[in-house]
Amino acid sequence: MQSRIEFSYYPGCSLEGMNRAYDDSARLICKELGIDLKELKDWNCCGASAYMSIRELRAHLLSARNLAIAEKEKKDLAVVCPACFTNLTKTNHYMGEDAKLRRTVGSALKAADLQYLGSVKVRHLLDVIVNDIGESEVKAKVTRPLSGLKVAPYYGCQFTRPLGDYDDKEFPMMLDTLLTWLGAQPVNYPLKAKCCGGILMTTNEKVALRLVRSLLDCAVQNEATCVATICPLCHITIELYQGSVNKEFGTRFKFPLFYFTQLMGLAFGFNRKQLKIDQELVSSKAVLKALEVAQ
Amino acid sequence: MLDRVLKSNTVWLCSSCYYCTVRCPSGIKVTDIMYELKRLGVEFGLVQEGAIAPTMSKEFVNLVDKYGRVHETLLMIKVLLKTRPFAAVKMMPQGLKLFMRGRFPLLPHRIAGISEMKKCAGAMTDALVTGLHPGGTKGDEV
Repeated sequence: MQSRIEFSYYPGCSLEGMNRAYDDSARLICKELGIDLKELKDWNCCGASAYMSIRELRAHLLSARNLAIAEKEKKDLAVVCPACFTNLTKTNHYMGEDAKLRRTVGSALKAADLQYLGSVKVRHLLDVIVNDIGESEVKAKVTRPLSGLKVAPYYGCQFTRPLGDYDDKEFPMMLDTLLTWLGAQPVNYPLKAKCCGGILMTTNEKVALRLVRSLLDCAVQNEATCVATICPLCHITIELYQGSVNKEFGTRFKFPLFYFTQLMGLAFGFNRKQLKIDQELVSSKAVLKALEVAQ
Repeated sequence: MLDRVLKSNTVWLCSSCYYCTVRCPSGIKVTDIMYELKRLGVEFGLVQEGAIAPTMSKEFVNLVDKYGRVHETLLMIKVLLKTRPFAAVKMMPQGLKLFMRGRFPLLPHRIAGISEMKKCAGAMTDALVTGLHPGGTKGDEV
């Protein structure tokens, strides 16, 4: 029998909002791979980049509360959203190296009868799948290889930056590797770890639209037919604003996107509905037709 | 000088991509410095005229302090209505599309531990000059 590994699981706010399909598909493929995800009890927001822009200590307190709960549950913390991963990792790291910060945040946590001793490891789910589960076990689950599917592997900013030391900080390869295990063809994608604009779409729309355009241009130039994402914010930005990009620049992009967990699910034989691919804003039906995926 | 720095375009244009931080040969955490400049600007009321990002960050903090989590569509609506009401109207078709796909949860979720979170936050002073700059305070550790 396959051995199972256990993690506390931190979905993050974006996965209970516009990116529910990422959460559902992640849970589904983890079950298939023998990864037990136990949702972190009563988790709170990681603060994203916005909270840190207003209050420093309270931003660390947000992550410290999540880490303290994970420590109580005696498990490492698996995270899917790179922004959440970055914040949790940063606080974990900074509290470890800065005694003053550790004391200040630690005494604040006491007000809620919580404490954090620093024992939790924060892991990105992609890292867990590639490095803990590994090639042979992933390949063993593939019943419908994604043969011929040309995918632009898009990591976004915060998958390895600043503190994800499991892959290259500027040109990560982990998603490329995973895609080949699924039978897909990751295309060369030089912009794989560049910013999508993300939150700038609300605050500096013109700049953000330019960034999304260059990501899509690059995918087309390298003959990809879809984009695989790791970050929910990148995903929704490229998906939701493709129409605005087309309007602004006179382009005609109609590029479907998949969370990497959805592509894994497809390769494992799940259908569109199970993986919530039917919640997409840009249709992937034409792209998936060749794979004979049931609608 | 402070005025020029805090009101510059650079500070709030920073999207926290951390390229500068990982590239700096001297290990300077440039992104963290940008955060510090953002906080200073908000504290002193010195931000670029018409900049939307400070409003966005403040609304974000309000939502997290109230619910413990962030309801992303509610955040977008609040910020757009405060800063660019016309854009809010322009976004309605996209909002409707998200709603039709079941990706627009209507009500924010409030975490059970919200009152404890408030207690914790109340137990610490998060004044501007905290003397707590991670990575830079090793010299004065007690």
